[in-house]
Amino acid sequence: MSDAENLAFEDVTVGTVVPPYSVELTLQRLVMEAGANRDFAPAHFDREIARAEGRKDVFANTMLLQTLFEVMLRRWMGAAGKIRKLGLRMHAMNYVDQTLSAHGVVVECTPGRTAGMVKLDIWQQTPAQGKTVSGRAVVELPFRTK
Amino acid sequence: MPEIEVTLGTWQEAEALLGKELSRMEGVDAVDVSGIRRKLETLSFDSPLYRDEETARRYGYAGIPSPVSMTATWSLPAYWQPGDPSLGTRVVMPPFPLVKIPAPGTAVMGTDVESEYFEPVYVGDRITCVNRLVSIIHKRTRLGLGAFMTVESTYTKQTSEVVCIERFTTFRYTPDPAGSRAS
Repeated sequence: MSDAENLAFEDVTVGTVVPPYSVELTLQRLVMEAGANRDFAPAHFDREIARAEGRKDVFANTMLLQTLFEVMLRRWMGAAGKIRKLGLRMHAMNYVDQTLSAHGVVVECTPGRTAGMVKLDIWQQTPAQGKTVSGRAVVELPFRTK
Repeated sequence: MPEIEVTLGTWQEAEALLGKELSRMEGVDAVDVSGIRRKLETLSFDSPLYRDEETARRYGYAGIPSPVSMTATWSLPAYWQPGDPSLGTRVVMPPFPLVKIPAPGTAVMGTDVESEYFEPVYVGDRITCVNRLVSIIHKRTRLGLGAFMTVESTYTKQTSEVVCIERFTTFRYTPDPAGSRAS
């Protein structure tokens, strides 16, 4: 990874759009996610149990949503940036068998002594349900060297 | 049919726990690169930052860092350990504290999670989590009558350094038969 691939504080401004990133919420993906994050609550992969609990179907768990935002931000920032805050409000369950995409836009840039703080509006949406998650992220970006 | 085991009680019992430590969890496994890779694999993502020590050090880390969103995973205890009876056909649930708070209402819905990250979590670290109940706000929503309850989880590593503070809010409620279901 070359340093040129890394986002610097000078590269962003209010209104800068983060390239979206999406995941297909197949049943198998939800199973892989449960295995990887160790949240084995059946509502996230067992359709029969989820429906018996009154859910429409199985749905993505909170840790998948958090990591989808982290991956979106990491792809955008490169290796140098740091995630300082992630805040999510979950408006609706993200049900199986649809595409969940993460989005972000810069709303505030504050230079500090050694790095800059960048605040973003972030959200996730599915084609059928629209916006299901909204929130804020704060990332720390380095100043450009040279 | 197994269901989420929600601890039932009164709002007085729930309010008596405000500010108190609800539970403490110790991660069963040390942070490791395989665990990180398996997590990122589900989202078709890879970065040398999370597997290559030289890259990590070049970016100022003391070792290979974990993605910040894996912090809770690293604090989870084992679902079975030596000496325990076999899991058999029992449905196991992660020991998240919010459903264990005695309160009225059988239904639980996660609504908000706010995380702040401090010291990086590195491969080899052991993560411990302390959970405290910090607020209860009663409300009637379209789902039914209940309360928003927030638990603050403080995650530390073996050196006692705080790596993350996370506030998770759920709505605990008695489903309103006439109300619309969450969609």
